[in-house]
Amino acid sequence: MTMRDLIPWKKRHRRPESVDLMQRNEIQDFFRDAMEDFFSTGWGIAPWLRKEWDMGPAIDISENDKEYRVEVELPGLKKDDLDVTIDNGRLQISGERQTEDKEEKENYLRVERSTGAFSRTIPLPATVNEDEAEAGYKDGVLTVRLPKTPEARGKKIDISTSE
Amino acid sequence: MNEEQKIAKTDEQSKALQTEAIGTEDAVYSPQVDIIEKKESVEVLADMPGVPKENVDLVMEEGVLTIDGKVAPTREDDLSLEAGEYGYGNYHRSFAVGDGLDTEGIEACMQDGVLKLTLPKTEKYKPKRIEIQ
Repeated sequence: MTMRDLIPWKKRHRRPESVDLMQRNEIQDFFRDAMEDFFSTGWGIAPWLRKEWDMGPAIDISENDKEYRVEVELPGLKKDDLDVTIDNGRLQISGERQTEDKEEKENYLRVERSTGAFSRTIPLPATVNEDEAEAGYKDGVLTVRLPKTPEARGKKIDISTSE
Repeated sequence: MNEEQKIAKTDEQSKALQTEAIGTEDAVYSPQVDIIEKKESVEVLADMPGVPKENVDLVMEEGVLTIDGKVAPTREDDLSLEAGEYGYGNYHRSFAVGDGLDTEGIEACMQDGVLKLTLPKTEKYKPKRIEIQ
C-alpha cells in the first residue's frame, strides 16, 4: 500500500468569475446567489451559511531519497492555532481558523472561505524517522518534513569483480 | 462598456486562462473570497496560500479590479508527488467595482497567504448623520 491510497481525494472548487462589489439590486442578488448555491453547495450569502472544512484542508505529499514532505494549504492561521503531532506512526495536523471580525453589523456580500476547526491524520510508513521531523509555516502553507531512516535511503552496492 | 459587458469580458478572460492551463505548471486558479460590507468600506479577503507578499499584483483598470498571485516554488526538482489534493498553480480573479467605491483609495495587505483589500466607499454611499435643527 502506498501513501497515496490512504489519502481521500478532494476536489477543490476554484472557478473564475466576476463579482460586482457594490451590487445593489437585491432581487438580482437573490437569483444570482440561488443559482450559485444550486451549482456549488456551500456558497452562502450569510455568515451562518459559511462552509465548514468538509474534509479538512488540502494536502500534498511528496518524497525524494531523503525525506517525505507533507504540505497543507492553511491560509490565514496563526502559528499558535496549529497543532502538529506524531503519535503511534500517525501524523496529525489539527487547528482552527477563526473568522477575522465578529462585528454584528457587518454585511457579508459573499462567503466562500472555510473556517472552523479541522483535523487530518496521515498514517506514516515505517521508514520515517519520527524524531527528526520538522514543521514550518510560511505564506499560508504548512510544511512538515519527515526524514527517512538511513535504512530506507537506499544503499549503493559495490560490485566486486573477479579476474 | 456597461457593467454587464465588463463582467462578461473578465469572466471570459478568466475562463480562457483556466481552461488552457489546467494540469500544467502554469495552472491558474480562482482564489476563494469573502466580501464584507462595512460602514465606510467594502473588504475583500482572498485565500492565496503559497503566495508571498511580493508576488501579488493588483491592477485597477476600466472599473475592473484584477488580482494576480504567483506561487513561490517550494519543492525541489527531485521531490516527486505521491498524493496531490491541491493544484500547484497561480491565482487570478477579477471583480467589477461599482461607482460607489473609491478606486483611488484601495488598500491592500498580504499576510499568511490571505490578501485583504479595503475599498473605501465614496462619500455618497457613506452613512451620514443628519443634524436636527
